[in-house]
Amino acid sequence: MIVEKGRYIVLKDPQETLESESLGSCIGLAGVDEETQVIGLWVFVLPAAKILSRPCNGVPPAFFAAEGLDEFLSSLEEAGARRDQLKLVAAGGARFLEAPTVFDLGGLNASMLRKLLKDRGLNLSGEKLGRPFPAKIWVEPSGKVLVKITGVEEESW
Amino acid sequence: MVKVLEYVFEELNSVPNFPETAFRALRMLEDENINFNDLAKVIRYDATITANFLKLVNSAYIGLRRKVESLTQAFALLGLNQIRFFLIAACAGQYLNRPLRGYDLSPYEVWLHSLGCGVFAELISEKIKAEHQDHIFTAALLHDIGKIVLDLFVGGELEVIRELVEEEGLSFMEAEIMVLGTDHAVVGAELLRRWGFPQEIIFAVRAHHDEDWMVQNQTSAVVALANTLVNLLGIGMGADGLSYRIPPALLKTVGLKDKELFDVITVGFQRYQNLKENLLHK
Repeated sequence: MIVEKGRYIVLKDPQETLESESLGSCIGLAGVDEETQVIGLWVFVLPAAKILSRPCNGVPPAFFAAEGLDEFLSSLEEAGARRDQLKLVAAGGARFLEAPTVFDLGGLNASMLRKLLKDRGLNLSGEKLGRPFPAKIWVEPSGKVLVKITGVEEESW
Repeated sequence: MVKVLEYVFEELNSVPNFPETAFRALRMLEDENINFNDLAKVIRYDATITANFLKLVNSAYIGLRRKVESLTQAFALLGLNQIRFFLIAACAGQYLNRPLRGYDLSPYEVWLHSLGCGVFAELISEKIKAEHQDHIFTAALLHDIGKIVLDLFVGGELEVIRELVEEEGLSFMEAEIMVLGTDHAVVGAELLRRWGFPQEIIFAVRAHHDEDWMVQNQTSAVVALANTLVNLLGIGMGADGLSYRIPPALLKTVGLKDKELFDVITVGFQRYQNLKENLLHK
């Protein structure tokens, strides 16, 4: 199942793999509780809604890191996951070789995610963030999380 | 390298011409008092363009209430700029419908990248009230056309190109030039020159990754910005990814403020997503 940008999908006793499209500077965050067999994948685009100069209708909270993280975590918990045994893996957050700060969305997204997780006492078990090349992340029904960056051997957690 | 360049030019010669029907229609669209029945007669001569045009119009983000089944029905609902946009997009689809293995892109990703860039270019043009909107979205829809020629050659040298990006700090385009003697922007511009497109469009395609040239005029800057945003969003992002440099003057040349950029990303992504979802479900 493809998880579109600005959305998340959570599955209990999964039969299907959850996968992102090419992430660019967006970040895909996988959440897995192997014990309770819950998997989830969330792809956010911007660090926070307050970055916009005016509210934009029809944009889901999951489009933003700050507004979407708690919704994603709650959804994992509602499906039966326990927060203290979650495996969290992040990928994407691509950055240009050189660009004015306003274009460094990958850097902004990664910083925001790390801060939000730290505030909630959570850590990433693995991350592949900030490379300039395309990345994809997917979560298998077994709970295995894989990240593939073009031209680099895939890694798993 | 000289040998590679010879092959690149041989490949360039093998690309079919841009449809004459489209050029005739675009020339007619320069007249604000155009007769839409005459325009329909010209376009419907090409069944592929007509089918693609109607499919795109019915999938678009403009919120049509009922399915459009004929060109004249479509023209009655669209503005001149929207007709130009869908006409170019309908033609571009004929070239951007195959895998680009060298750039690690499926046909679907190639097409979405082009459409996404067109959607963002159109949105930015509206916002800044750009002078040459038709040139902007033509260049945006066709900006990566050079990749269809260079793909085979990049595929053979991708590892060397990546090494130059990672170890020497070159942009992907600089590495393409080092290894192949040319890059996809130069090749794309040459293709458009042969097809007879206006100089402003050719320059914008040539400049879309060149940090000095993309800020020479507003049309080039808008096309480069649209491409930058589509890549940031990972839409049809090829193996070159974000291995480029963005000049500090880009937003100023476009005529956007820093704080407006995130609004453009959000609204543009919504429009693109709507178009993509409708295209997939038709």
